[in-house]
Amino acid sequence: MTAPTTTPTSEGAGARSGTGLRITGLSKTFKGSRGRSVQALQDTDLHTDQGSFLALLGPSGCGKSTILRILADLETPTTGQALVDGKTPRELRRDSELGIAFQDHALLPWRSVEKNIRLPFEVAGKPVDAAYVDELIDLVGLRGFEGAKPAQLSGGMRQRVSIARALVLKPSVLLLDEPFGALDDMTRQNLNLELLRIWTEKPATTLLVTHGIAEAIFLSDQVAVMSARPGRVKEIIEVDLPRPRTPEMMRTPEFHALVDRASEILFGDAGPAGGGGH
Amino acid sequence: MVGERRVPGWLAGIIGTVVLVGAWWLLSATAFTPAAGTDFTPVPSPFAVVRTLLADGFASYWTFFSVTLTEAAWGFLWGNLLALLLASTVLVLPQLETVVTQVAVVSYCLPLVAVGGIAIVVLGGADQPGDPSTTAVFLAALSVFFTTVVGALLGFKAADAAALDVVSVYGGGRFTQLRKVRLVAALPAILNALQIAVPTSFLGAVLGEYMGATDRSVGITLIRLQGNLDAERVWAVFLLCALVAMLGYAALGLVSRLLTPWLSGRAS
Repeated sequence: MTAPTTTPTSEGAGARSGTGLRITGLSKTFKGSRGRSVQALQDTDLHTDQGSFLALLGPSGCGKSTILRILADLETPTTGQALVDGKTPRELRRDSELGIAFQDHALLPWRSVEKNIRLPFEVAGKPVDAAYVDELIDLVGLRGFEGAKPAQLSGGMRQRVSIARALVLKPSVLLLDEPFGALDDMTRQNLNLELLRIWTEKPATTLLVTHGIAEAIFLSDQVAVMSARPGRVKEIIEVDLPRPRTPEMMRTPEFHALVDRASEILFGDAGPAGGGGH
Repeated sequence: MVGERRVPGWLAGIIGTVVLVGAWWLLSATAFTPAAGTDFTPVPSPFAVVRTLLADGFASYWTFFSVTLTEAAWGFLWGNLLALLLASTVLVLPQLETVVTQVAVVSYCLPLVAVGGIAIVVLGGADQPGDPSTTAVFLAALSVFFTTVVGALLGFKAADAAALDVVSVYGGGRFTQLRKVRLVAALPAILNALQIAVPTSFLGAVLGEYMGATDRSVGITLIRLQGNLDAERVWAVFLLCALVAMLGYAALGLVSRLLTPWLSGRAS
């Protein structure tokens, strides 16, 4: 059994012309040392709509980052195919339609905040849209820090810069690999709210890799719960909470029911009651 | 005392100098006093040395120091240039790294004295008095080669993998990664190696001069002064050598700071 394919409501024109995320039969085997090989991902299917927010939730080593890296054209799948809006990762990369942020901010320490955000323009060989860079600095709340170097910023601020950098080319696909994973809980909560606000203003088909259950449900339209070794999608949870989402929703029974369900899938019946936040 | 606070760098430098000069002075005054009936001592007091230095005047020392400095500078240039060129082949062909390291290690294991002996036969020394000795330049270049190759190799690997991924995702190829990330990330390690290369190249040049075939240089001057049992001037030359090496080291440190400003203020 592989993951159930979910194509909610719009089985119409959109789905057929291949918009949104289309992952079919995706596997990835890494060749390890001394001839041993590790299967990171096994026969995975995932379909979402254009502009939707999908979270990949699972324990470490379940291949969720591998899916993201395949979509970013940083890895090639062993079998299967990944398409977004009908384009392969290579085409997306070539057309500069990807935006990416990692757990490690990956900012260049010798560049100021503003110059770090400009980097994608330079790499893609496009003229710098200074007005948009400026707008993003406002959007991520870094006004006044444009000239600061990453070493002068807090961990949370560095992640804001890296989110701004991910958005600067107005990507149609946004890939977030535990962008707030290394931050403390309070900063993380705040940044999740900000991310939601930013995503509402600059919508893109988004894939978030996380191991935070509450965070996944709070942000996403769909949560794909994965199991480890070999990595595969166990189940996809439709998050039917209305948008815009507010922090108050995290205290509603509906939200808790979804969190419980996700932890049940993750940990089985013996799992910790309530699942907890992260 | 001021508790756990660390001693600032300039104060540590002064304390270190005072302790060293003090120990020197103490030794010269106790252990190495002239034997009865002679006035020769292998360790003259610091005051006697400085007195000689001032009496001779810096100009008389500069006449041969300038030659050695020229040799050290050429050696520094050639040695580092070749080392950087060799190390950068790794950027094109990463598989070459073990070979490059091997070459550098071999260059390090060569006994400089033996190489100097061969070099003086093959390359020769100074053509005319006051010219730089080819052997000295060669040994200066050879002595900086290893550290710079190793430093550059380290530097080329210093780039953050995630930053390289970011460049790749925005459509950048290997060359863009090199230009935007790798080369700048390599700068601190390379500059570090070059800084160490300053005193090393000077040392290599002096060693080359010991091989002879030079009439005006620090090395040959030291040999002559030793022959004359002129301990005060030997120590004066030694002091100036230390000063030159330190000044060069400090100058390159300053250049590093200017070129990699994002590093200052981070953990020392």
